[in-house]
Amino acid sequence: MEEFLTELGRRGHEPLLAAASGTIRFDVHRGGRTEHRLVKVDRGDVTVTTGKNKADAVVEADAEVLDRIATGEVNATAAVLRGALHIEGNPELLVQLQRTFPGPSNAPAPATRPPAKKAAAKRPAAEKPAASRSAAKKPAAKKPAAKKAVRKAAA
Amino acid sequence: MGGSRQISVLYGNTFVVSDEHGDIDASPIAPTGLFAWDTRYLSTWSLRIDGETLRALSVDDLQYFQTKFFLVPDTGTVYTNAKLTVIRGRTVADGFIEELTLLNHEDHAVELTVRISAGADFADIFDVKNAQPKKGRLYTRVEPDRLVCGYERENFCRETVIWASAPAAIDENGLTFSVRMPAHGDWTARVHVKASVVGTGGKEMVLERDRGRPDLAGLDAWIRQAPALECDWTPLTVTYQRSLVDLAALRFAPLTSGGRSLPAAGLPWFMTLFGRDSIFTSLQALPFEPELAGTTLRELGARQGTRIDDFRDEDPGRILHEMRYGESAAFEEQPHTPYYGNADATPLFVVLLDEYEMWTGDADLVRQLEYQARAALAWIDDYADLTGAGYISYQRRNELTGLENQCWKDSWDSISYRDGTLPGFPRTTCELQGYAYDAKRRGARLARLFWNDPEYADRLEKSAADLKRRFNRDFWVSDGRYFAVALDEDGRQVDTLTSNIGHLLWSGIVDKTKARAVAGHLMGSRLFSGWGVRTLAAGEQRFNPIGYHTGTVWPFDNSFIAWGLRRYGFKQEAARIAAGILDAAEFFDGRLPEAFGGYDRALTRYPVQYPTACTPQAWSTGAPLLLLRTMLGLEPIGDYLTVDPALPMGIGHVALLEIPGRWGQVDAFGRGRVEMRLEDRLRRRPTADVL
Repeated sequence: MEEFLTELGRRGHEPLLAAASGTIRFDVHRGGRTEHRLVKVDRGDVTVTTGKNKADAVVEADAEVLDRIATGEVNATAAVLRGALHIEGNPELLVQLQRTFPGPSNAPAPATRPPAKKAAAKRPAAEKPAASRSAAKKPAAKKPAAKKAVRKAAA
Repeated sequence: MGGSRQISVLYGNTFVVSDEHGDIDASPIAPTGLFAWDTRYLSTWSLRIDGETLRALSVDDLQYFQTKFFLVPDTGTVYTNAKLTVIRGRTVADGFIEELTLLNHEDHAVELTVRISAGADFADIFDVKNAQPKKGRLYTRVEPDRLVCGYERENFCRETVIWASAPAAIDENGLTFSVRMPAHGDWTARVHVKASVVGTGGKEMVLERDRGRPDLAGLDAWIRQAPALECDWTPLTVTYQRSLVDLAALRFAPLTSGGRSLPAAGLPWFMTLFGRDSIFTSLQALPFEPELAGTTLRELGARQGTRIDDFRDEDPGRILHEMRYGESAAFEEQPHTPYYGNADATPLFVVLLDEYEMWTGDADLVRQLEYQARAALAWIDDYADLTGAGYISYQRRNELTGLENQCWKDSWDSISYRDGTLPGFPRTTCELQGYAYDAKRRGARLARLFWNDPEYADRLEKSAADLKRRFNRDFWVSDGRYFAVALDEDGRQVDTLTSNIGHLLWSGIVDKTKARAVAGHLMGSRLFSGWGVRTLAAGEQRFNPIGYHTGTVWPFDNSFIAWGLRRYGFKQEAARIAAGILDAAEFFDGRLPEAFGGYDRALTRYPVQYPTACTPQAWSTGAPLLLLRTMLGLEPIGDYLTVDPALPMGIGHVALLEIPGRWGQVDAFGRGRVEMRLEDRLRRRPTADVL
């Protein structure tokens, strides 16, 4: 999670969070110690700092759980429901933030996945939403959208 | 036997289903209980006086969140010689509060033992009908002044906490009160039951923002803020009031909405966020309670898919199907955190956003949701085109617990060929293409007016025009002159005649030259029963007037068909559908069921209700609202609301006062002019018969 948050902070602006504003603090339990990371979102502009500042929501969990969420192995919503994550305060930002977490990366490409289409180039509107995320996290071969994003990122 | 009548009270996603005595004795066939967060927090809750059961005199359904049971001791005979009255007043909040009142009618003092037995099995809402053994540990804890029933599995912990305002002896199975009442005296006690979610370290976790306790003032305000209806046909005003109250009951405030609410799908089992149902209901309610649409858009946008997750059938841009909070969701035995397996909510999300802006002028939300709307539009082309033919299709990737049919007609046999056989997957149902067309057209309007991207708008419009052209070629069943319900996995037409063609009119994808034939089918004897349009036409192999999606009439379906007919200028036809459905509503005291039988009106004379577990159902509740809109011909154009009424003859006049919108508040008036065929005219008012 450490790396993920640092990466998120480095991005500066995350379009998936454009509708979100607020602060959320992660209290991460690691080997008897608790580390604090504060994520501040202002309409998509993200800053990540350390320190035990006051926040709109406080998420408390073991480092292991958070790490597995950050890699897409564990679903954050399910983790909250089964008590693996504890949240206090306004949970809105966590729901927003988890949009930036990756999906299960080792999912085999299912047979029903759309065949790659040649017409991808003229498809409208793919660039804006499909951009940043899928480029970084998805095996690029799966989707025309992802391919395209990779091309964009490379450009 | 404790009568078959079930009493439900609810607030948000907390609800109590009991028998008519107020008792809960859960079994697989009688799934009663206190439910919250899709978990049963009480499976036993029974009241005994001196060990005896009680007999129900009456139940007073005060409000959706409040009910009162009037009981007397059971003499075991038909005679009631009650020297004692017991009143159980029940109000649902974060659990419920039961106010017990005993009235002694003897002229001497009495001593009684009042016993409440309590127990909780913490069944997941998906397991209540098939008693599953629990995987975790059930426990009870007697504390000095309260009883705690709990369940834990790893860190998953749910507790029911019970305490009373009067002194009680508490044991593991309930509470006992020793009551002494003077002659003609009384006794009262408040028993609290709290359903709680316990997080790490025993701390309570709040999954829903506190929106206060339910109260009558809140309900009054809700009804007052809706337009007032004046009408000389009483059943319509009754139905309208019923719809507003039921819509209030169906409100659900998810944890992220800041206390704002959106319509849940149905009461009590579907009190949760459903993409499709919440969107359709918000569309129906736009002229009446527009903030439901705003909340629906924000909440669905906040949970829009961002990754590829086969278990949840999630794709980037996809709008969710269903959200659940129970144990099976928490441990990923069910995919509902949230589950994305539907093919219609994503284009409909864009349709709702545009329609919402046209009514409210809330450009801010359109700008805030630009990213989500673009992602939804991108999903149509990049993820939903499973066959490569340029259409939205569906086929689940979660083969184990995912949904096979991802359109609104989601039962196994809803999509069939004329000969009754079923197509394979992926399936390309026709109404999905209409929604996609409409979404692109509306998305183009938003892009031009609010996102400052005319180039994107042009592309969307071009793509929509191309879709329309291909659709009218590929789906048109030329020997029947209607649109096929679907294309199969090989692109062949699934050629039955269904109500889906009405949705096509609503979306505007139908070529003008084909519209009259479509309207003719909708009003023809194979589809129109006299009450409404059947889901599947009479004469098709699988037609069955009481088949769930193969012959019944769905009020929600009909309200959108009526809207579609108006869109193509078929005013009279729309009025006939409104007349039929509103007539049917009168038989159900203003509360339309999810579906009713597709028998000919001439045959049954009354609409035969299809038995379903959920009532009211949100989109049935919204149907009369949308029918009012279509009858009055309300259409927002720029900053004005235009009115173009076409009412059925049985309604003399309708006035809808103070319709909220970007114009402030506007009144709409209409008079009944459309001549009805004798067999499907509005039921005449008793007064008219007398005259």
